[in-house]
Amino acid sequence: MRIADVNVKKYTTILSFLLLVVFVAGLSLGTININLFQEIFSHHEDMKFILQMRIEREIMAICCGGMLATGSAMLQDLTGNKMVAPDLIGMTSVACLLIIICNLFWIKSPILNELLAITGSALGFLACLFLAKNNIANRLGFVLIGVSISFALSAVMQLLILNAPESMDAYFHFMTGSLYATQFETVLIVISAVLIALPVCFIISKRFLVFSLDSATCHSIGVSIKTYRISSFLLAAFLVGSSVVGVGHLGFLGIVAPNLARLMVGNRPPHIFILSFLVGGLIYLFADILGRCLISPVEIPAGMLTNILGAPLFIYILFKYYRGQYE
Amino acid sequence: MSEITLTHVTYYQNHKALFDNLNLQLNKKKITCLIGPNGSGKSTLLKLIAGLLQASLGEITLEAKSISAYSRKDFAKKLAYLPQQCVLPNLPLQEYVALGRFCHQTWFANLQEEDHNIIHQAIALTDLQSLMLQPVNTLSGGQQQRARLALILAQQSEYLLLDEPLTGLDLKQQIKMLNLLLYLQKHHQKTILMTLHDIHQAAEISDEVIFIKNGVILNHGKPEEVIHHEGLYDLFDYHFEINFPRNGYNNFGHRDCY
Amino acid sequence: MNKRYKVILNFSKQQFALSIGVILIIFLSLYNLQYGVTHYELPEIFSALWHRNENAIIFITLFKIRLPMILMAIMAGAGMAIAGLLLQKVTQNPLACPSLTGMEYGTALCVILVYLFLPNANRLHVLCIALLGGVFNFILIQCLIKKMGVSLIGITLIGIAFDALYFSVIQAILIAFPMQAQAMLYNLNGSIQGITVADIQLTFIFFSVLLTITLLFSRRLNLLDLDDNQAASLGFNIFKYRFIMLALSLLFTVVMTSMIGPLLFFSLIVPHVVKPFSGNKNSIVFCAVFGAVLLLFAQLLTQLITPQTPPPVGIISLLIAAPLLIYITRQYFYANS
Repeated sequence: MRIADVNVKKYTTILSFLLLVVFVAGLSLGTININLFQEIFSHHEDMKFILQMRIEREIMAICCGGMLATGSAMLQDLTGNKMVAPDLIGMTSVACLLIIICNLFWIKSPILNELLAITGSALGFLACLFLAKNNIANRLGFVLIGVSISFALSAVMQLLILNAPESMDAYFHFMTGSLYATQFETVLIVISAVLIALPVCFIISKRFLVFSLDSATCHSIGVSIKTYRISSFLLAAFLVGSSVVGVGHLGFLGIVAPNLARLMVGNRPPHIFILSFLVGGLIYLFADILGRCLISPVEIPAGMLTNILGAPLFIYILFKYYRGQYE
Repeated sequence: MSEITLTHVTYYQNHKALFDNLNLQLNKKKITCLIGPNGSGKSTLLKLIAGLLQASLGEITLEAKSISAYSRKDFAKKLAYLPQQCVLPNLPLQEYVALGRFCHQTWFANLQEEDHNIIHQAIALTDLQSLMLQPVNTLSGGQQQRARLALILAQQSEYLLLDEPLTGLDLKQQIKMLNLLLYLQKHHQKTILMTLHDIHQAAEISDEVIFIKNGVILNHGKPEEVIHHEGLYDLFDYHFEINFPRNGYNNFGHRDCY
Repeated sequence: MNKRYKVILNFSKQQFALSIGVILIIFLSLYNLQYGVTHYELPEIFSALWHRNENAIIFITLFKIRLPMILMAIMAGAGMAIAGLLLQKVTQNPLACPSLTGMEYGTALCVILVYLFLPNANRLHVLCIALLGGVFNFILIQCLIKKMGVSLIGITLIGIAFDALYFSVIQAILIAFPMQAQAMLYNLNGSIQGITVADIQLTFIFFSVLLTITLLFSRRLNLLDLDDNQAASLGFNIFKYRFIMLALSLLFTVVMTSMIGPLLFFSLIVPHVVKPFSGNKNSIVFCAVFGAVLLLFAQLLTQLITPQTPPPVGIISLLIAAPLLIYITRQYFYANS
């Protein structure tokens, strides 16, 4: 048993425990504070309704935050570039845009949204790759192109929303990563996405070790690197897309969560995905609860809070990264 | 008996034919050395046999079966290729060498006890036991070269294609490596095809030598038949003074270190 | 004989481009006067100018509403472009941009905070406080960069991180204080709507002063391309000039952003767009002229798209700037691959 494995177990337990505590705390905090022990056994209908809504929100927060973090960790391993993240590169923006266009001008259907979101994420990454002439090694160029795409699409979305035939509110929630408008069908879709994708992710996580090898050695040991890359990319796009369907465009979670997880346990493929999921879910859940409670009854969208919390965390990560204190 | 056969192989590079109608037969359980000036196509030939490059015309067979007919994993079980240079990742040595077991693993299985034994043996053969947990990209040049060879050894394939395996090694490490290759051929029945720059080493260790220049095979045979003054002049356009041991070749192998 | 013609020709090419730029400014200004909620034809405009009837709707619309917007677009376009050029020269990084250093959103945040806590502040106070805030933000980011020893991508990412932070804080404040949000009337995207004559007067003072100082130093601009050792051997105090240019860039950014809000990526692309026809001389003048042209063009587009509810000019300029940025990045990084 290596030291790193002990670390992994330690951090996984700590994070899961924290997640549980925050989950339960979140159920009772909010605009209306509920004393859980009393209400579980009582029959107040409205309290039960609020509890149900909160449970839905929190499950959504954990699943979507976790999926975004895991998808981002996979992309970072695939491209070998730790600063690649779906929200920075423009994947989430493309997915959001597709969903908004479809909802504004055609039909609203959660399953269609899911398909569009996955396609959008994949397209976003491929567009970035194409525009960067398939050269991922140059990090600054790749990030700049991704940032341009992301900002430009946000501008397009704002234009659409300003001139939208209907009320803006629903889409505002979507663009800022708020969990306010969580619907039951979307929760079901997100949960099923998690249940499908995460086991697949763990099964194929071993292969992520080979992504750091050069192509000749890969060929020599019998790895079909092209198939691996494509299938891993599709899985990552699936994860990111499912996250967008639930909560829209989050900021900074994709960069911060996997790198924090790497700070804790180093870069071991199976463990890093579990830990990214937990860290991502925890940060997002925490942001959501904070957003609800900070200036209640007004609610700050969780996506904004992930930006506000995430930026200092990100600076901290850059600090550690450039001091060479983690791989 | 010839186990690797190239028949009428033509390969184009930069719109020019590097190999034109090349025919070659390599024997099993022998060490064969490719010798030639830089740019003569040694690395390209190895890559063609390893399946990294596709020949435009002609056929390459391994054990009487075309190499494109093998599945990727089966081919990897039979043949391993050591590239000339590559960037090593940030993995501990043990995990890096463990990647060599990839073709023997199924989808779900983890590394078994047997796999771990093979990995340890590979690391021991290349003399890297003290560095097991160190990330390979922090090793010195010679250690990295040996780590790459350890990965190939862990793969346990019968055929080894090595592109300049002695780069970056000091003299003692070179002799040890050559002894190791000889040991592998004798005791583990491996077939080795490699490129070398040192004629003396090639003369001492190989069973067969191939002279290649500009994509054309000038000569192919036993060292004592092929390596002589005129042959070397044809190959390099240069007059060499060569001293060969009078009492025959292969006294390398008499030093049994393993 | 031939050599002389060549010199004249080269000089003319620049002059030619510059005059095209000035003509474009005039044309775009006229177009901007024409278009808007109500569309006026040119004869109407000239007759209003001639008769100067202060109470006519057309006069008010043209000269109290649209003309300030045009002048603001000219000054802001020129100012932001110069800010971008100076920053790129000082940092010797062709992809440097005030928006990617957190300066623009930082200034916007300062402005919002001022309106929040001092609702009766006038523009001048706001400007001064925003200046202080901008300087503070810059020092903060520089300290972080120095401490980390980051590469180019690290600097960019830190800037983006601060951008996102300030942006979210601004949005959070706007959500938290919806009452004052109306009073702040601050658009997160850069909007020239609602600029008054008083604003123009204030901005013009700052703009002209900064522009004059910049033009005075324009001859030394190219010397900033040298590295430290070369400059020292030439007897050129590169630190002093870097500091001055940086300060000018900062001041331009803060003044313009506090007036109209952030214009993302605008400052980055204009110097590159201008380079083919300006060569390396007189880049300041070229940037100013063509920055104004670009922003006037973007402003025109906002009036044309949806005249009743024009989108903020920042969105349109971002949509123009983003593809250009992608193109520039490709040229810069991937030209050889």
